[in-house]
Amino acid sequence: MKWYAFTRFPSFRFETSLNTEYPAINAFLEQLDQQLVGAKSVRRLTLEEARDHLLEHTESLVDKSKAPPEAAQMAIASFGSPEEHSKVQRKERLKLFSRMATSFGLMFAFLMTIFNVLGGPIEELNLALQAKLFVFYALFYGILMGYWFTFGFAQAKPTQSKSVVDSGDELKVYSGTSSKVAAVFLGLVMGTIGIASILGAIEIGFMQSNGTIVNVLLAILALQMAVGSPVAFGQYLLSKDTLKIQMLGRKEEVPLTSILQIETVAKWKRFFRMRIGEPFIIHWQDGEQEKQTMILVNGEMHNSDQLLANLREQADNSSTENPS
Amino acid sequence: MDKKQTNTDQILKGLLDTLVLSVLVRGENYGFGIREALHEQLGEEASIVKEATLYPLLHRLEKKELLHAYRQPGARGTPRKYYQITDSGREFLVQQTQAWEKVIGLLNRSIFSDKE
Repeated sequence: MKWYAFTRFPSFRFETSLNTEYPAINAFLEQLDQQLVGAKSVRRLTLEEARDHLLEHTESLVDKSKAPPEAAQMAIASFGSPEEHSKVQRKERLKLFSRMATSFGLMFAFLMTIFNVLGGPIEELNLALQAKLFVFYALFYGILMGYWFTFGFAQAKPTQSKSVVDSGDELKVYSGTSSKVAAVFLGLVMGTIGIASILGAIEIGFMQSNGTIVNVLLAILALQMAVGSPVAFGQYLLSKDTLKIQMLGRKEEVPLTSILQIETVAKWKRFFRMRIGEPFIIHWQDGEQEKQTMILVNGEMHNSDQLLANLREQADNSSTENPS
Repeated sequence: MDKKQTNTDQILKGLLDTLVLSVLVRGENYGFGIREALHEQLGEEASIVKEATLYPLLHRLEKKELLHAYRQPGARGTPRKYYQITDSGREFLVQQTQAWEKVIGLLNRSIFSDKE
């Protein structure tokens, strides 16, 4: 058994819904799948791209009068071996795991250490113990969160085409039911921790032993997460002319022709405010005034990539028409 | 593979980034579409574009934020992934094009002029 087999938990088998009318392509995809890492949703990302490519190539060869089985074999030969493609996927995922484990691990370890240090008298501080706990927290949280984000989680499936707005429909960016359930759970847990921390800061309740500073920090972190969790109940609607933002407690419209730039918020700025997703700032012109509107997208939102692609195109068109 | 072949591959590998970006600057595209566009441009030299290296290259350019990618429902029952060049990608393409023009100029004035 290969070392990476456990990362395929809980879905170890090839997903037969990916099968095509070409047995050779099906065999290739199954061989490729056996050597990929990650849960079914993660492996699908590579398998879908390979499947699409092989089918396109096969059918272009069939159009040039090749017999279908021969065309499929030629497409597979041109594409490269399952070993070549799977090696690349495993390498990419390992690099991602290292990055995720390091950043999550260090973040949690620093936070927990700060809480431990500030939560008790400084004269009783045991540096050797804190150092061991730091390493433990970094490894524990790093491996847990790194594993989840690398091998367990993949972008939500797209349900609409980017060009749907051109035909008069709206592109809808929304979270699925499971995300909404998770958001309710997160909101309740973090809300409870936040309120308990505030009470603890004023020496009421079971959290008062943490001390004021720790309780204030915990309250800030927990309440940000609690306030941010309802993003799962919001949606973005993109039509040919307008972006409508419909979030709990916030409704806004941005005319597309007024968009100047889509700014990605720098990583260091994101550190100071915890959000459930990646923030983007839309710079747009409202009459004489330049405004900024933030949108938050995460991997659990369907069609979020198409939304960003459309907005970036719009910003590019604006800069072409009005070069500064 | 002899050393001369390996050196050639390394040179062509460096060019592939530029070639892929030159396809995407004309409009967003997906993996097989990029491959076809490159084959159309390169004709007989198209064998340098190996499909086993195309997708890792696209992912690498995406990680460097020279490209953005998005998936949308495809005609074959599974989502199709599209790649879009970014402003950084356009700047990189301009820089690389200028660098290659410089290389061609140097070669024309030296090795190729000797051949003539």
